[in-house]
Amino acid sequence: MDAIHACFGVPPDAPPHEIVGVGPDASREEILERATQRLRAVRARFPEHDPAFIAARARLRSAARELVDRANGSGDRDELLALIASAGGLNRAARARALRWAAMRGVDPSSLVELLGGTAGETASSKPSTASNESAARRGRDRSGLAWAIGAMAAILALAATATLTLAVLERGRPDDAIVSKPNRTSTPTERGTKPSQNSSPEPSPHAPSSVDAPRTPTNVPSIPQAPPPSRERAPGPSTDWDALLARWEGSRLAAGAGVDAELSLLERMQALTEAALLLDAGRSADARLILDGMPESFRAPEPAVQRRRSVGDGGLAIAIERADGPEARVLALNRWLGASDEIGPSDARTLAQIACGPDDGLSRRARSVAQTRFGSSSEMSLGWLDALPVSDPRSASAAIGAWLGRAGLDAASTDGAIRIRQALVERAIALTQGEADSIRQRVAACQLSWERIAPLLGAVPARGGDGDLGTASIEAIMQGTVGTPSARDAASLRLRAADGEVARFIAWQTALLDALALPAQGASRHERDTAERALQAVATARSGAVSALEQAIANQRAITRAIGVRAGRWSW
Amino acid sequence: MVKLATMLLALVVVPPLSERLSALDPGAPLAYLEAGEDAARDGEIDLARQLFRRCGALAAAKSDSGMAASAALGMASLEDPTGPDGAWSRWRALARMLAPSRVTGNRTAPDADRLRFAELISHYRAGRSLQAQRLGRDPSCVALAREWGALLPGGGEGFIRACTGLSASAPPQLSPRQSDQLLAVESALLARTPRAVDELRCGVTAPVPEVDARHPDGAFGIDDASWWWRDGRWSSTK
Repeated sequence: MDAIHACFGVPPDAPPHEIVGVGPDASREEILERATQRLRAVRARFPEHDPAFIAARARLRSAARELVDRANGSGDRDELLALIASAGGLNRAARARALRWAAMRGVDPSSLVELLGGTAGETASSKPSTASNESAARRGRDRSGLAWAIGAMAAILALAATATLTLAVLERGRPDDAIVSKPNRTSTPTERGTKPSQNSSPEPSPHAPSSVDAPRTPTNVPSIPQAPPPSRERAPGPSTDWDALLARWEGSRLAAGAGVDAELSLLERMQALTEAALLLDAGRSADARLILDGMPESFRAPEPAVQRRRSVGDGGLAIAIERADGPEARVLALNRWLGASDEIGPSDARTLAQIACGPDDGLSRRARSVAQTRFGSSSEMSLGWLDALPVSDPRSASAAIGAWLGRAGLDAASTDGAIRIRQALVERAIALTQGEADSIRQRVAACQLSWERIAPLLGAVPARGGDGDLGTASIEAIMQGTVGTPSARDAASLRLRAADGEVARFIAWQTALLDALALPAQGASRHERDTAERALQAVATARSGAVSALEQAIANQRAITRAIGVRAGRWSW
Repeated sequence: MVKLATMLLALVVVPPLSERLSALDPGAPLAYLEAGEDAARDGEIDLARQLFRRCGALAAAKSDSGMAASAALGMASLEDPTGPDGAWSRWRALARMLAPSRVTGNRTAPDADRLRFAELISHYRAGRSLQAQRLGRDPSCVALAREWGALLPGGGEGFIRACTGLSASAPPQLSPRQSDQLLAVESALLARTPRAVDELRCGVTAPVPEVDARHPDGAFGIDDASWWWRDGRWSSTK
């Protein structure tokens, strides 16, 4: 069911602004506000685990993101160009600033390339948006080579983006005045300069900074003190996005051994919270709210998927064919057996597949046609082909199965070819058997997409892994970037040696990322490092006591979200 | 006759374990490993553990990762693979960390074997008794059934028994769950490198053994330099 259509009457092929319910030239704030409202409306009608809700959420997010990107592209371009001009041309600082600017606004590298490369010639005449950058921009206008420089930089960025190599985009250091140019988006010194929390409570501090969510430039320092330590005397502040995040973080619990589907669902939720934390840290509160508002405070495990199997009469086809005398009678028997049913049982599917894979005659042609037209969406038919394959002539079987699958060039005569055909049939059977309930595949894909969104927020270009990857490729890309530390990378390589499967590889990289976020290469005091070491030890203990690999992944993800909160100065270890 | 002579010769040449323990020297970790293997063979499990631990710690200190990995494998051999504490998999993981090429080898069965096993699944599902019986006795299919046993209906041995005992008059009646299990196993088996989604569909969800990757050698747990065996106990003085 299309939840967006059901709630708002928006057709499936509607443009993004209609999906979100805004005008084509709406402002960024308006887009995010409206998208959040729509998400709430959908959630009021559909449960969180309903595939219709999941699909609607993804569609709303994607539409909002596209509109926001467009809005950013038109409004902030001047600011970006002034920023580059202030760096004095094509140099390391300009590149770092532009990429940091992009990450802060959720502009992906390819959009940044378009933004820079589109009308580079106009750069010299574009007006900087802030007074503080004006003199620098004037210097930039005087440089005749700037247009070329920007074009060259765009080319470098394009190369990096298309090669999906890790790009060290964010040189995290002290906030740069040139970047945080709008006064109302900068934290006050009192907010940012307080003592570090001495509290080493095992949970994020619930009293920690409940002040306004001032956007801030990401920093490499883990717990640069921005908030006073939790204090009972302090009056509770107003509810903030960080509080909402904390409530959801604390509500993300699941009994041990709950099963793969429930564990994957919780992992997906924890990753969304990581994403929200990073967005809040980057000052993109409205984007974070879009995630937090679509998520109930307490996690509820999804209901077990219902197997949609139908029982139909089975075994009649083989008898009918056996009793028929002569080729024409067999075709007639097949037609009679067909009747009006669109369903087929496993035995009949096997028989039909074997007939279709037989010598090229009227009966096999009719069987192929029936398999395609009547049972093209039958999982039993897919299994029928699978079971007919080892006892059929490879050439005719390849042709018949290729036609049913809609694939050319299949060849069951070779081992490699037979494996490929079986793989395609097994995948089709799984997809058709479980239909929308193939939640493991959907959730794995959601986890992968989530890491692709997280990567730019951690200064890396996401790497697209293959289908069925939990997001390992993107985490690896993050670790090869500025966030990764040599010791975390070394530990990852050892863990990877011990990993004996893909889930284990995912956990190895995820653990490495946690290490790197908790213990950055520089900037942390000895006390902070000791506290972080103890926290990491606690996570290792949780991993060693887990009863499943996914439980370990969830423990890691909880800690990663927490490390981001600590890094942002909002929580303590 | 020759065998008997060899055994007698070995008894004469190889000194008894107690003597070899007294002669142990931290400069030669291999002697600890060999003594540990002998102790394990004689049922002296605790002594074998102590010897393997010392071998591992000494080898790691000398950067002899192959030897350290062997010591970790020795430790694994003393544990129950199905034990609830996960010690067996932890020692195996440490061995892979220390010397991957020697321990892990090639995990992927040849394409032809994997295809044969997939066809066995088809014959079994279709109730083709002759083919199922033939492939059910094929050594490569038996090996793969053991490897994927945890995921097959009835376990690896059970599945092979079901195939070899399949009767033409009684094809298997698979429940939807069993049918899904077979599909998931085949999907993972046919993928040259099973993807995360394959592992999860198959229920391969055992926890990853937790080894401190920053100090893997610390797993051997010898920090008092008690390398010498004196008067029936370990001593830190020669």
